[in-house]
Amino acid sequence: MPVVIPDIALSLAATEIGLVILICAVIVADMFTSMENKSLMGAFSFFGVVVLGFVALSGWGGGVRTTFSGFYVLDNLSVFVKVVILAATGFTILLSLQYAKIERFNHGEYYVMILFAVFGMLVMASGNDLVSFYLGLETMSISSYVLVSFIRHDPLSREAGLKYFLMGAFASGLLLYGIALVYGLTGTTSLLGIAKTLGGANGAAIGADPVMVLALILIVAGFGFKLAFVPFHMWLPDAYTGAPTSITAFMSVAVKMATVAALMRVFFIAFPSVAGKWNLLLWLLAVLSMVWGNFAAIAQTSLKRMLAYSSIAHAGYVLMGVVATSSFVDGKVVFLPLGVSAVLFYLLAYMVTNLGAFGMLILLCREDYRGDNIEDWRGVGRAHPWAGLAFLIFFLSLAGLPPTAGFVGKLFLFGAAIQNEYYWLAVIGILSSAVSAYYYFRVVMVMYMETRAESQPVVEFSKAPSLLAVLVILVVATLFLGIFPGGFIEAARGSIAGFI
Amino acid sequence: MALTDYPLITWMVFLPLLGGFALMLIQDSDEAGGQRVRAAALIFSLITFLISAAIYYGFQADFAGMQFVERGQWIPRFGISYHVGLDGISLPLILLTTFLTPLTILFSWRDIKSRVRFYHMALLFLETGMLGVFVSLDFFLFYVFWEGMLIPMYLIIGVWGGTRRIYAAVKFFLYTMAGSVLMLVAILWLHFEAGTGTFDILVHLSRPIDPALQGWLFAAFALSFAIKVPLFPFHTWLPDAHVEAPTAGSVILAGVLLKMGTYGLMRLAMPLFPTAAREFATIIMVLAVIGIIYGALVAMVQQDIKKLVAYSSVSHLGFVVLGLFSFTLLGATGGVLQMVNHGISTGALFLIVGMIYSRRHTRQIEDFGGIARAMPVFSIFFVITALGSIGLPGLNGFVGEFTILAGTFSRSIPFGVAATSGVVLAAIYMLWMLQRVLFNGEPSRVNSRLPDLNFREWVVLVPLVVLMFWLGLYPKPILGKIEPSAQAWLRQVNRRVLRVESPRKAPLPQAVLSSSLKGLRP
Repeated sequence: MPVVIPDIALSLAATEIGLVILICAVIVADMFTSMENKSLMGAFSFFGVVVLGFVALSGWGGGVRTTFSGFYVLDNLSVFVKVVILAATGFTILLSLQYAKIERFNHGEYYVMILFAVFGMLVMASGNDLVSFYLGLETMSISSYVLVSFIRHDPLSREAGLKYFLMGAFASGLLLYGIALVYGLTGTTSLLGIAKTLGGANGAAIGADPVMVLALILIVAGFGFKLAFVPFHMWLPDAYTGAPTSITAFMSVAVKMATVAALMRVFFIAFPSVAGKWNLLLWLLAVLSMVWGNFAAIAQTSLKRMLAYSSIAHAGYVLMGVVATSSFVDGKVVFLPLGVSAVLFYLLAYMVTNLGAFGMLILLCREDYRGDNIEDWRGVGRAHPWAGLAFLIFFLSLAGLPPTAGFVGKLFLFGAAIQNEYYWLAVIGILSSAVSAYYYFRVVMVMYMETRAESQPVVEFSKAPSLLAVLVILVVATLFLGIFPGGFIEAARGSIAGFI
Repeated sequence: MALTDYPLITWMVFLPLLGGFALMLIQDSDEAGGQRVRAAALIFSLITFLISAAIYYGFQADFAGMQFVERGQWIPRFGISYHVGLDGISLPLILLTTFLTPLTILFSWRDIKSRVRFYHMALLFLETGMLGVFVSLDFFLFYVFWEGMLIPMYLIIGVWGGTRRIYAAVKFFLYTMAGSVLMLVAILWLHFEAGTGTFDILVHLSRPIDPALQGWLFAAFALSFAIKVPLFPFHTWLPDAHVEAPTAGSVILAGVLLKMGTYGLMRLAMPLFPTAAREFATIIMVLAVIGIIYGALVAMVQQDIKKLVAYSSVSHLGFVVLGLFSFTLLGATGGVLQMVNHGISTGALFLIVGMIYSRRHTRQIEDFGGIARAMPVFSIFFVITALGSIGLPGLNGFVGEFTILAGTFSRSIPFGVAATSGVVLAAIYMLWMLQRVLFNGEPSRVNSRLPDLNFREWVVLVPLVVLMFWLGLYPKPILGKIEPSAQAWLRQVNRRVLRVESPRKAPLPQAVLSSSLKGLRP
């Protein structure tokens, strides 16, 4: 039997290839850098990531192109996701430069692991096959296990890493089992191939097979663990609290972006014919996440943990947008573009906002003082009006109040839900978002309305220029996306071209 | 170039915002810096007032549609535009806002000593938010201002308020927030389901909505506004917020913020969903009457002057709602006028309470008595204001209440009778309080040494009292501007909508869009 060498257009994977080169360069350069100068690796990675961002951007508007025998796809959706992920990576690296020294984990490997995780995410964004998607997911996950436990001298961080690892490995197992079942039923792992089989002559029979239902449940559960939807969220508060704050910020936005993009690709491309089944499951997860995430966040005294719970709720909002994309007319599913573009815009808005919120925590952190409890922020708004204002703007955005990015994002998520007549989902979501205003504004209250106790240490903010610059950019971006979202909405809209 | 050709509304709305940012540049670390901040804030708010005066001057009284309209694309993909304009309903409220803000800044001159800059920034941002709500003709814009207003007010109550300020601020915030999110759902429904694909308010006002669906939508809008008004039984945030807020905050809250609720009912909830509004009218009128009587009765037993004034607001706003839901021209015109009247009288009352509090550091009625001897001028102002609030003929409150009651009587006698009892009760609680505070024998030793009004306080009170007399004796100019719009409004809310066939995704007729741009012509 002749072996056919498929035509591989490497140029489509230019970003990923460039990233691998960057990773190798950082590893090599790291060997020749003294312990004091490891921040150079961060700066090096940062510039590399910026360049890669432009490389990724150049793929925009080229239509849907596949390579590696259809394993890999480059379309506007993947470009959008990649650019956002790379932007988040750049911000994260800048957030880390000073913080890594304070928490004493300033090793070159830190940046290498971040870049490895990013590599996984980029592959996920382009994964056009259950296998390539799974490869990306695992690369990302394994790197993040390491990153979470990067503060080696801190037992909390080690515990967080272990928990995350055990749960993550279990979730990967579920997902892989689901993928295997799908392969068994349809004989292919290609997303388009699965859709073709399910939509073909025997499609109805396969779709009705209980094994198919089991496979879908397993895949949804796998995604549920990775994205921490309630009730699969147990690991998240611990992992997010124990991890270095920069990594918490990174995971809450970049991992989410990549995984949601993959989730949409898998479900919208491969399983439209059984949409009624998975949509119901996702509906349930969205409601549980929004409600439980927001209510559990109220009870937190640690700001970092509160933001962790709030990120569960935000995952719920995003999932609401995914659910609201499907419209059922006479039992046939139609995917409407508003939902996907709302999800993409929301993830962008959430990226600038949440990175900013965690960046504020880093701002207060110093050698002998973590500053990640709500109490630590007491009276900060009085003593440091600018920092207070920045945090206020991030909270406004998280709570979904105008004139911020979060408001526009939520508006279109809820709009998508209403357009497709998911009224209950919208009402539950919006009420839970009103609940969330309570705990976000509790911090504002502590910052502005309470005075600092005598026993509390004086507030000293980090003066690292990279950190301050990032925070200023993120504040401006949060407001800009809230007031002039037009161009970004068009971009989010444009990313659907050729997708659904 | 005519006055209407300038983008006056944009200037008026955003000048305070600009001023707020300009204040950032002024250091307020020492006393002199604080004075500079206050002066700058005052100047910005005065210029804003002058712009609004120019708008008043250029306003055509005989035209019922929107005037000074400005429109520009904002987010075309979702039919969001920057669309502002005003008519005879919003004009009085705009003037009220721009008029009260400089007065509150002037009043706070000595009242606010900590974080002067931040305070004035919040006040100016608040002014932009309030003005924005009154001029927005796009739901997105409206909602941005509506929610944006919340934050400065939250901070003003919570940072500069009294002892229970945090509780009051959080309560205020949560109540308002809970109400407005449901309105957002309804707005989104209008956008996506009503088939217009636009957030333009005028387009929506001109399109009938299926009566079968109006109930839910009206409920979502009305709940949000009823909390803001506040209509009984959603009023419980009000006494807390009013009492704990610093004086300037109370003045703005009572003077303008409460009107957002009645204005919203009038501008959006009722004309958008006229059928539902008529169906709900009886329930809402019952709640309004309960509010009138309950507010008055609770005000009567208050020990704290500020709390008394706060509860009197519940009662007075009940009148406004009653007037609107009487679906008569008198009721509507009186309703708008009474919004302004209440803003002036209650604003002045809060200022007066603030003045006495800053002298004596108590607001308990029992701590006073006989201070008319110590502060004769102050007492004259107090009496005039209180009488204006009660509705004594010749003062502002009378005209508004009388027209509202006339409108109510023409629709339903029982409601009219019940509401009239509120007028009597108002006289009881107000006069009784006046008697106990100002008269009632000799002042105690502390009270006899209280200084009378200083120059700054004169400057604050005189314009308000002049307005009370003006609106009471010669309300014609302002009524003449309200009436055409009120008539157009009445036609709008009285129209009968038959069943609308499948509104969903219906294409938008170009004619509707273009006619809406010129305003809703009668």
